[in-house]
Amino acid sequence: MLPLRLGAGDNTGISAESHARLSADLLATHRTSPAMTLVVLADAVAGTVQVLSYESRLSRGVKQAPKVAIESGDLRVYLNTAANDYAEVIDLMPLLVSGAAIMCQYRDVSGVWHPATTAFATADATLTFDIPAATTSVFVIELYGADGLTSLGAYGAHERKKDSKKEGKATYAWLWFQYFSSALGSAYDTRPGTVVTWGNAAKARAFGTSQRISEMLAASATPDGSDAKLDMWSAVLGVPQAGRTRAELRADCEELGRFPETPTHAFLAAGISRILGREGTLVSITSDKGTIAAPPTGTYGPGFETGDPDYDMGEGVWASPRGHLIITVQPRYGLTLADMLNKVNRPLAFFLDRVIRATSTWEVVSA
Amino acid sequence: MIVPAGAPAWTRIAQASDYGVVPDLHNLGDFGAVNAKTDITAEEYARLATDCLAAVRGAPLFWLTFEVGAGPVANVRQCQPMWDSASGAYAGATPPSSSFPTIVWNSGASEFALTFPGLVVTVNTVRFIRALDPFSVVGDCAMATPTIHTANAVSAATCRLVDGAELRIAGALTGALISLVVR
Repeated sequence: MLPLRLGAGDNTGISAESHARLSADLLATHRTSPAMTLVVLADAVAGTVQVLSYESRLSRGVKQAPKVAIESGDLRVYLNTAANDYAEVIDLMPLLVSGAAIMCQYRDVSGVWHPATTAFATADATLTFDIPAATTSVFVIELYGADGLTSLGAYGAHERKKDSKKEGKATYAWLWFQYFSSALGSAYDTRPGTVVTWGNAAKARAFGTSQRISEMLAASATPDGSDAKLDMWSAVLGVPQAGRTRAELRADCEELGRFPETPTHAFLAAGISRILGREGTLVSITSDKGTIAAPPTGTYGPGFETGDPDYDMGEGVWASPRGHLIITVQPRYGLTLADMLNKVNRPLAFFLDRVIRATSTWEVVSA
Repeated sequence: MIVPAGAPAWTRIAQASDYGVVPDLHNLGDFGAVNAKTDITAEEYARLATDCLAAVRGAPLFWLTFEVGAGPVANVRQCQPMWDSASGAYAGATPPSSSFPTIVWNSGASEFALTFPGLVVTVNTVRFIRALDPFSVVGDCAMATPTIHTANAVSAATCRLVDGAELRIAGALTGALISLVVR
């Protein structure tokens, strides 16, 4: 929560609409802006070359520049990893060179600019420029490339982003701040920046945050709205975190987390196997009452399962019989009991609780 | 779903207020961050938004690279417009989606024509490009100040704008690798 968003109006708050515009424009700009700008002084007489300036998305300064040299009468810029010593260059360039656009011109000793004649070898990511003989030239090289590093989600925006249904545009913290400020009365210092306003703001933020916890828990019940529980979702759904941004992790979890209304044996088996990974093997899924898809005859579920209404105890509680699934797994040989319980009681239970219908209970047993 | 304020970046008409930076933006009560390591102040957000605005004004509309094969035909290596993720390689006559341009040889004029058939809109005989941002907000723009670079060829390509929606590239280019940046 931005502290400036503590306010409710345009002067002290940032709306979701404004943040979305900022994020979308930043993404558009990132896509097409130069990835690298290199200025090189090439002396064809002495056969020497000097990098005058270097800027890239990940680094700047001549010490970070890719290797440049005059070889066989040509100016060469090496964008491949093997020719360079610096991590920044190595990280950046292989992503860029496959389809990169190169702009290059040079200025001769009389100050006239010319388009440079270039050869671009993709295989070893080397740019080769013809340099005028017996003179000194300044080359300006721009490289445009897609690094694939950025998405709208990286900025916290999303096509389906919206204001909180409960909190709306005026934050709880703002409302609490109004309340505390007015409740203290005129005997207290009302000037900004005093200990009284700091105290009010601190309390308002604490109260506002606690009020949002229930919403956070509800949002975490599905991967698409989850942030606090996203790590758990990635474990439950078997989506590795390595190599994914937070937004990519959420999107991939959302894709895998579209649970069917009525689970199938195949869906359950695939999910359980994914969570067990190398720690164990799914042996069987059996039921001693009902089936995976359907509860025993007579099971009542208010609003979703027609059965005997006499079992309705009110408030969503019912006393009719339920199905029961027995999930048998074979732990990996040598796996400690603690590790197995950690696997079963956390991600596996989290998964089963959400997939298996409320008309069925379940247990996990060791083969 | 929300509808973002203002118009997409390629319209070049963004204002700081589109990003929520109004003249009187300030921290509530005029006190700054409670914890500078975790909070963002109004001043910091204003700097972020203003720098984004500056970058938006100067960023290219799109860049692309294409190779010229016998025919001649254009084979695009990669194209990156503001309004979509970068393309993969594609034949110039058949882009993968309307976000990317066609580049086809016009034998009568002996030059390549680059257009965005799926995005071109004509109003009062004026053609321009109309694209959607990730939130489906419409933004209009026109191509301007193209810069071109020719690699792997003896002679350099030349380019000219027909209008805001079409660009022509000429030269003896078979075998060349062309880089194009359009603002």
